[in-house]
Parts: sequence; structure tokens; C-alpha cells
Amino acid sequence: MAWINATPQIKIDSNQDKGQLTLNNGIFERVLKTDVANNAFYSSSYTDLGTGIIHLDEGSYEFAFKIIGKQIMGTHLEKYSITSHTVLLKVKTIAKF
Amino acid sequence: LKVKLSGCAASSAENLDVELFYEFYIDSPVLRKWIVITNKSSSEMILTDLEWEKINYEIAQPFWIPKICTFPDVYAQYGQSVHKPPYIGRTDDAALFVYDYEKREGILIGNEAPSVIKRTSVYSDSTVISIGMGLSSDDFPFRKYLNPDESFTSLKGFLMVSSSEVWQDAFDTGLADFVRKYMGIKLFERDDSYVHLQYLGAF
Repeated sequence: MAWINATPQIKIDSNQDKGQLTLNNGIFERVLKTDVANNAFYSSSYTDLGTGIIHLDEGSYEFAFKIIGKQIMGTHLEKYSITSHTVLLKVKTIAKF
Repeated sequence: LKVKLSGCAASSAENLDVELFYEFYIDSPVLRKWIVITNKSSSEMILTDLEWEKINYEIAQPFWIPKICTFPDVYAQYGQSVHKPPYIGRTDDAALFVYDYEKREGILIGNEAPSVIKRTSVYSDSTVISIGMGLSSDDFPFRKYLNPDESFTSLKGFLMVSSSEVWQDAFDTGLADFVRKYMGIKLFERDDSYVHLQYLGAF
């Protein structure tokens, strides 16, 4: 399996200049973009680090729903201000066998 | 990771707070996600057509060959049936796997919404994959009335990248490990206290 992680570690990088958050656990990397100019929020890349293939195509919505019939998405049509981002770390008990 | 977005004034998202949660693990290819939507207005809002994960995902597109066309298979219903996209996963599709035989690359899409409420879409619109609940046009649509200052927390969904010679590996290894370790679902659990008592009884 290509996703076997040789050097396991979780990294969440915040780059204010590029306006992006990077999630990386050595198996995959997902980059979240905060587009200040357009007040949009979306994923700009999703990479399988085992193969190096970048899977994400342009124009991802990130999420979508309707409020009183109006379409809301991470990109296009709507505008957001990025209020905050918080890294939440949890230590979970893993089952013993 | 929690990302909080606030809708700007004079936009469709005005008076809305959106919180996106991304959860991932040190030894798993799974990335789990859910959304919290809060009504910050003074009147009731109706929430419908919810898809908390919606991205344009190419299964096997090398970044140096843009816009190449691929024809993956969709192994639905935990791998019991195979389809070609576009595909909409509903009641029995808690986990489905999109796999490209040529590149031996795929992505497993999990939807933790219960029963008929869940809706998982694969390439219904270009290369869009989405995880959510029934749309207004579906037989079992999702709808939630949000009072002022009320929040709605979605169910969770997850994506899992997988690269393997056989598609079954995605269900047998990556998904199985995730379900056992992080979803807390397992068929058997060793009772250590019982073993301890037996050990004491020997003396």
C-alpha cells in the first residue's frame, strides 16, 4: 500500500502571506486556501504523498447548502470573512489487541 | 482543525456563521470532515441541500498532464456492486470506492449520515464528488429549521486516498483500520479484567 507512513507526524501549517492552511500527516496533504481578495474559502490541492499525484481540480466549492432557497458555497456567489482558525488536538485511546 | 467563516453583509451568506472541522490521524489516510452552521439573524432560516464536502477530484490526473480524461469504476455498497460514474450513493452506500485501474489509484468516500438521509455523489457534475444529505429534489430530502442563534452540526464524512494493485485493499486495510481505531466500532474486544481474574485465580 502506498500510504504506509514511514515518518508519521501530523503537521498543520498556517501561511498568512499565501493565505493557506496545510494539513499533512505524511500520507496525504490537503491545502486550504483563504482567498482574501474574493473572501472565499476552498481546497486548492489534495495530494497523495505516496504517489505524488495532485488530485484536486480547479473550482472546488469546499461545501454547499441552501438557506431559504439561496445557494451558499465556499467559493462563488457568496462572500465570507475568515474569522479564525483553531487547531484542535485530541489524544484518543486506541484499542488494544 | 477548525475553520470559522462569517458571512459578509449584503451577501447570500449574511448572518451566517460556518464552522468547518477537519480531523485526521497520524497513521491513517483518512481525512474526516463536518460542518456547523449557525443562524445569526433574528428570524428563522430553512437549511436544505447540505453537502459538507464538495470538491473537484481527479482520480489519476498527473499534474503535468492537465485535463486528461479518466474512466474510473465506482465500487458501491462496501464493494458489492460496480458502476460507472456518474453515480449517486444513497441508503446502502456508507462507503464507496472510486478506482482507476490504469493508475491503480483511487479514493474511498465515506458518509456517516444514517440510512436514507445520506447522499454521496460521484462525478454527477464534471469531476465533483460530494458528501451530504438528500437534496430537495430527492425522494428523502434533508431539511432543518434553524431558530435565531441556533446551530446545526452535520454528520461526518470522510475521504481516504488509496493506491494499490487491487481495489479490495481500500476496504480491507485503510477503511477497516479507520473503523476499528477511530470510529470505535469493532466486533470483538478482549476483556482484560477477565484475564486478570483468571490469572489471580491460578494462585
